[in-house]
Amino acid sequence: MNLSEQGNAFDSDELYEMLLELQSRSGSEHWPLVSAKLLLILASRVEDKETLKRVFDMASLDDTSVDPSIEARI
Amino acid sequence: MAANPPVWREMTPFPQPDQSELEAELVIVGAGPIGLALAIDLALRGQKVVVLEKRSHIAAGSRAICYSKRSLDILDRLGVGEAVVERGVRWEVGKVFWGAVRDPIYQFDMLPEKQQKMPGFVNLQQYVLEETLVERARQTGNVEIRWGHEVVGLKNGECRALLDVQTGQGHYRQSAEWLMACDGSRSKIRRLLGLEFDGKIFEDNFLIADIKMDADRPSERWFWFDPPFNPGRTALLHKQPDNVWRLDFQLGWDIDRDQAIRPETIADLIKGMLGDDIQYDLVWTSIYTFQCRRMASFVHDRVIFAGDSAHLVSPFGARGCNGGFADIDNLAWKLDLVVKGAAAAALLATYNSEAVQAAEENILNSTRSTNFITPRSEAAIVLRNAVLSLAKDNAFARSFVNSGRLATAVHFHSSLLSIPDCDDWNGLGIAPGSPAIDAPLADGWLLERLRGKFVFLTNGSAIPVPPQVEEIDLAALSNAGLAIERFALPYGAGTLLRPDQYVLGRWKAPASNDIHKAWQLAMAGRRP
Repeated sequence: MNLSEQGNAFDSDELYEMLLELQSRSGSEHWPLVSAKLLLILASRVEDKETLKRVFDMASLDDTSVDPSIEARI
Repeated sequence: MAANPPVWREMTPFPQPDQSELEAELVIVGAGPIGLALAIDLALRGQKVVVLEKRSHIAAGSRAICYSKRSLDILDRLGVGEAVVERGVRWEVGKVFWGAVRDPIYQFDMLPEKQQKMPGFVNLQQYVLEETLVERARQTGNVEIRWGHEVVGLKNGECRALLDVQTGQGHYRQSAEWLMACDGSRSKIRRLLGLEFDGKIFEDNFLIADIKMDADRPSERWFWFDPPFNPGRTALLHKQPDNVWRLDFQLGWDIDRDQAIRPETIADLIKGMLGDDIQYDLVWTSIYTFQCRRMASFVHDRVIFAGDSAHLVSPFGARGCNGGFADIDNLAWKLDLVVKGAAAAALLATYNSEAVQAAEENILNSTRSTNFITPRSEAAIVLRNAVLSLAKDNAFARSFVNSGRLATAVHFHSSLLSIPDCDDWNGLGIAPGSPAIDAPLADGWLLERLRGKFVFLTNGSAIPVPPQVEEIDLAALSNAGLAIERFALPYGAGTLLRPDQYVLGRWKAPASNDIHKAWQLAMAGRRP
């Protein structure tokens, strides 16, 4: 399935696989749902693997203290 | 309740041959759907085929049930498509549910391009399909199915394969110029040749329960993530003919299999899915695990592998049996031309490269589906649940929902047999390496006209083509507008189709030499 309408260069299954791979390498087991949602929203708009890696690194994957107002808006 | 009946239909064992040594050009091992379909395809091309089958019955237990649009096109080419559609349950819509919510978070359509002869999917018990194929094989007059003949020894060589065959009355030797191993996932032929079968085994158990019930439910595929009746796991519901329904429940890895298969245990799951007041009979139950594996190469001297003997995938996506049909669709015309001496043996190498590519694609899709359906870490579960929670209200997230990417035709754009476009087609039409799409004609369907031959499909081009290539001018047919539109053929353009309905090449202003060179490429099986 193509995400090109979102400005994304990847097939959605390929992108999901890359996210799992990044997650596996980061070793982050305590991943709040809101971070995962944010990551998906951002990742679906990236155009290349380097950007995807930066998006992943910037996401607060171990931070469970996400602002509730952000969570409410997702 | 009929508990796992082993036999659907007894077949008459084939008698022990009078001679101790027999010769044949084409021998197929395995009378499952793939072996039978290959036998029919070769028989329709005029080849005499021997099929060796160790059982003397058609086994019960529905196993494969979902046949894709592409498989239905293939079966229709073999003359059983209409019978399969008539006997089976057609469906095109799949719905995905999450948790206790009754509305689907997502639904899809397996036949976005309407006006085709065959539907998006048909569900039919494998044993019914096998029975249909056995009858069709008999009708050809060219197929000899030897029920009750088991291969117990094999010597493979450059010129022929030599088989030791055991029957109820003794044994004999059978030589074959070409031996096709269609003998399933536990292929005896593969073991006799000591060939590797590499890949991954997934640590999870699934329960199949085929039940018979009267239910007024739509013919749709329903898939649940984390339903209340199977928390933390998945479930699937599919309709089959004769009021039989396929229920599939993820069980997890560390289970008591004896306990899990008990009718009272299964009843809890069934009632959870369908309601406490549901009345049903269990038809067939089985607990399965699955693997994603394939052979490195499908062609070994005179032995050619097709179907589950060559590659295995998870059942998510119905890519097992459908992948096997794709194999034989690709193989039959090539083998026929090689046996007749019309094409070089190198053409069979393109079966290997294309079928291996298809298997790789199926394994990749199957593995990705498995990773989504059965996430392996806490974080992976969170990511999966993030997709599911976004999917209901966000279109972009639906593309991530993977309840099994259902089998569709594989595209061979980089195959040796796909001539790169020289013209600019603007992304329209059907590119080299893709299969033809059906369209209505005044007197039937386009794919009915593309049966087993090379075809030059044109919109008004009048160039001479090789005598082995049939020419169909859509401009001369009434009601061919949609066919012209689907191939995006401007006036004067043409596309050359392989006997398996795949596009070999296309030209906006073809010259006769273009068609001759493309056809010669296929016959040579290699570039000059």
